[in-house]
Amino acid sequence: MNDWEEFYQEIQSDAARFTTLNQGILLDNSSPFDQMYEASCKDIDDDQMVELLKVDYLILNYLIIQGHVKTIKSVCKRLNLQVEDLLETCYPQPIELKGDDCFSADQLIANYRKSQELCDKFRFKVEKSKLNILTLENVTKLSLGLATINVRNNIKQNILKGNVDEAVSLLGQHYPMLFETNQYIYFRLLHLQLIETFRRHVEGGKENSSAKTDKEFLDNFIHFIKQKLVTIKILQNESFIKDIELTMALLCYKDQLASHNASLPTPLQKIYDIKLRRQIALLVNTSILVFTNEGLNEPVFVELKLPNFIKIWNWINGELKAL
Amino acid sequence: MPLAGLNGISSIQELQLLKAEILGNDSAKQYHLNSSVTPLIDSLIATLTFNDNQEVLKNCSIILESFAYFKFNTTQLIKEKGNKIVDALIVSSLKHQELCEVNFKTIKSLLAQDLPECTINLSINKQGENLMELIYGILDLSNKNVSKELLSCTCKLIPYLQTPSLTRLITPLMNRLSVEFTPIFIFLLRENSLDNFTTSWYQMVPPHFSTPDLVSSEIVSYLFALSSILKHLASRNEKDRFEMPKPFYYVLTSFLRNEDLCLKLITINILILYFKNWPATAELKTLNQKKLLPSLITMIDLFHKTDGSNKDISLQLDDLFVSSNLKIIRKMSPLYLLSLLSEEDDINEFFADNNFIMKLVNIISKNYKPEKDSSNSDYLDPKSLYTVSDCLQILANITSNNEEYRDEIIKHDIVSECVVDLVSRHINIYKEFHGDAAQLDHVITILKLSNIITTSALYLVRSLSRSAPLLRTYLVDLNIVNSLTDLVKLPLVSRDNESCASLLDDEITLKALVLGIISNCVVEYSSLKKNVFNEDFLKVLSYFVSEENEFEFLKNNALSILRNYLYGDDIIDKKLFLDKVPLSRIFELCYSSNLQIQEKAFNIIRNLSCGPLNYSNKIIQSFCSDPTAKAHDDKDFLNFLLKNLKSLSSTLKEDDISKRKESETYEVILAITYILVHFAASNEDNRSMIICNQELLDFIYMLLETPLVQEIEGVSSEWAAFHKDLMISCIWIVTNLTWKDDTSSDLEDSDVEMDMETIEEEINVGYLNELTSDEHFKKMRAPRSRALKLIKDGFYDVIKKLSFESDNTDTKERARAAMFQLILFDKDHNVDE
Repeated sequence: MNDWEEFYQEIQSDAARFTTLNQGILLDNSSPFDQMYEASCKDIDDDQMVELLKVDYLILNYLIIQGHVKTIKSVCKRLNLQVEDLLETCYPQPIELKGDDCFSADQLIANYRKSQELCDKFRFKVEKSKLNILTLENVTKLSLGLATINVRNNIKQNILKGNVDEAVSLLGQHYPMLFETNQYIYFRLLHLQLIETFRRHVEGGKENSSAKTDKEFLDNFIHFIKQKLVTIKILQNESFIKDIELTMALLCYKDQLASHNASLPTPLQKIYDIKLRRQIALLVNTSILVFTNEGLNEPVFVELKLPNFIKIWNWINGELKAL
Repeated sequence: MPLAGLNGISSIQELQLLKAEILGNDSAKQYHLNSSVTPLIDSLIATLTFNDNQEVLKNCSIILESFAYFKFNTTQLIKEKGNKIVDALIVSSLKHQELCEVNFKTIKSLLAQDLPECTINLSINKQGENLMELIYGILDLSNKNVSKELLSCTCKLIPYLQTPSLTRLITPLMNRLSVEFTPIFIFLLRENSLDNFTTSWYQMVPPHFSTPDLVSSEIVSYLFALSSILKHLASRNEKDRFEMPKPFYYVLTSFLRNEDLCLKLITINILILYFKNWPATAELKTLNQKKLLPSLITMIDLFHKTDGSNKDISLQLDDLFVSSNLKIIRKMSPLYLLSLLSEEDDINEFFADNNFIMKLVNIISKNYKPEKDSSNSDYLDPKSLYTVSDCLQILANITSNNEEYRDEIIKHDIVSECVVDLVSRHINIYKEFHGDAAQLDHVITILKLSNIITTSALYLVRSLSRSAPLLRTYLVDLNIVNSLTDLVKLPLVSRDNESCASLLDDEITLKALVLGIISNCVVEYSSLKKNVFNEDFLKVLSYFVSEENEFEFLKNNALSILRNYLYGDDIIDKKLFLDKVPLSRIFELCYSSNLQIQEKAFNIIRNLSCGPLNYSNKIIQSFCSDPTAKAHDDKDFLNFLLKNLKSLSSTLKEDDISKRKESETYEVILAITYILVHFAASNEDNRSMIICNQELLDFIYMLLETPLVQEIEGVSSEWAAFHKDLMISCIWIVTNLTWKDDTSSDLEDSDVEMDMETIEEEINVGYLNELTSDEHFKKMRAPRSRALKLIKDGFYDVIKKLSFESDNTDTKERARAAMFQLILFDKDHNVDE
């Protein structure tokens, strides 16, 4: 029997180890769902357990993608999982290899054992369950977006607070080529920056109402548009030009907005609405994930899987209430 | 913003402000590039060279990278300052290895923006070897302090490097891949079966694979680098440095089922490269090429999809690669890869299904929309140009030997319009190139691109010109021949001009191709022959076959035209030819070391000696006084032919079959034997001269004795076809030698007339040996003397044996005819035998 056959028999004989390889489960008996089930449905079978534990996985995944650092930490704590452990999978420790013979049977088996050791770190046992393996692919998937989470969160928080200048500066520092590859984000973010400048001036109230400060503001406002928003690519896009025109139109409502009794026309309401910050923050977050290749499929994941997650969540709640 | 001049920018704050101003803002970039007061790029290069602060260097690198995305001027920037920038970045990376990631990104981005991509020749770069050492260290698996981002940037840079030491990287790269491939391999083993793995080389269907989560982003980068290293190994003929491990192949083929198009495309690229260049059995090659085709076709469908109104709704190749920060290199595009695959005859039938030709025609019509009002130079953007070029190349490949596909293609007007338009545009661009010196750089760039697409178009015309029916119909209607001759007449670019020198190779390929097409167009049955030839064109051809032309490729194809042109009995054509090209030049070419040129030269002599009015006597006389012949110590034309036959046929006796299969040698031998056929047919003097050359007769006899050796394994159909042609030509010589002209009776009845029985007796007792050569020559003017001599020399027996042994009807028929003529004069043989 050659190396391959022996090895093949070995992995086949331990069939149970592989039954969950592709099921994407984060198993943790300290999960709130488990606790609830332990209390109320003691005779739950493995399949149901699998489905419920998928929810844990989905929540964690969603939180990482959205960059909710604090919540992730608390969820991980509850799941008995260290964020640092997950991050480590981004940088798997290399294995000593024998030069040219790296695809030999021995070498691949050695690699495999090493990757199994890596998985063992994330092995969480569930009582009564043989579904106790978190696979390398699940760990890898779980760690997607984790490497950039702090920076993403920082940028997002700044955008949500209206500190767009700071967010732009952070983007330039960490992802300088994002604006080069994604002119849409460049425009949307700088457009928001312009609106926030306007908002600050308006909210400054009487302090900013002198003719001098008004002129200074107007000069800066126009200068910003000329410097940052009238680029060759932006001018080629009709929708961008329309948004700039609308933003200029906001200037006409400066005094009314300052006296809090303005009723903006609907198109202007849209661009002045504070919700725009959240929209842009989400856009920037997603674009960073795509740019860093961490979220190759994750935007799709967020869009398509989250509704499913909510359905499952509703189902769980319904089930729990029915008990 | 004021800049710090040529000594560089030392303030971090200043650089950060500059960065904030420039990132994403093309207007700001344009302002700085146009500013002649303080050239920004020069300042940044100076900073990179003289400053040692890492933060400063990093910011400089980022600002430079941002210029790579400034589409409006990148090409010019790279051309003018690319080398300086790259040198400065390499020095900076060697000084501060922490900056490798950002610097490698910048170098890659700058080089990748142009189409086709630029590369750095590290062999001529002072720091080239140090950089390779650094890259080797980064890829080395024992280096545990490498981030995945740095690994990824390094791999993405590799395709843009040129240096012999690139081959060293194969080991660390494969080591890295083995780690990444292991979990996938284990997964595949479990999902499929051990048997599926062990027989994977011969499985038409790739292994089942459904877990994309196992494919890390690093795999794409590693494979991207690997593909360029494999290309490098193949081009340097260092294929023994890589052998595809079976587990590697198994995992790789599983990616053909992966949803990640980027990964799939790189996988196809590697597999095509491997099976095109590395040794494998024909069966394995064909099977693997067939395995790749479905994925490739699906991908082409995705990238070149249109809705009902022909609106482009396809995926953009560049968009696909944005997420992996890869810029797809030109030679990885699906259409280009398919053009490589379509070169193989074995997969040709695949294109009959799937309405594939229609798909290609649609892609051409979608992309070939030249702006009619624009100047010739800017009529097509590079992306569309490459797309159309690849489609035309695929069409050329699949029609090269397939009449059905040719008939299908000519139904589509867009193909004809595109081809004619491309050729005429190329001529105009060429004229522009010679006319406007002020725009030289721009025109050279356009000319290079035009060369690529025109070459593909001409490959298609060449494939179509191989069809006898199309030479009489479609190609006549296409009215392209005059444009082709105009193309040939255009002067070649000068090697002395450095900026144009790079054009020369492409121009030679293009001209050789045109000559090849014309060569097909002037064959005997073509209706185009008269359109091509005139005094001017013959003058151009005479230049190509002259000593002045240093390009063998062009010489060979020009000779090929002349060979085809002279085929037939038209003495006017032959006279016109000899007025322009002296016989001495053809003799000179017969001495060429290039067998292809020799073959053409001998075939020209063959055609000149053919027909009722021919130049055989002139050839023999001219050769005697020819300076080249004298220089080689050759005095007699027949002996010269014999000498060549002997030296060439020595390869036929080689034990090594591979040496025997040299088709060029076959062709030259056949050309020479056919000269003898025509000489033997020309007149009694020449017949007598051949028969008096005992050594030559012996050699022809020996050729007739050459067995077909069908039983030897490895005897190719090529050898069998050659053997058949050789036998026929030798039999034909014998037939012609025994031919009795209408005029020959006069000769027989005159001074050479003698009692036939006396001749037989004289031959049998060896009396002829004692005759002087003049007497011998006279005696051999009688057909009967020649026949009897040939019978005595064993020709009758050997031809008889051949007629029994040969399976070929043609050979049998000709052998019978020769035997009949031989025994016509011999009373000992019965005609009915």
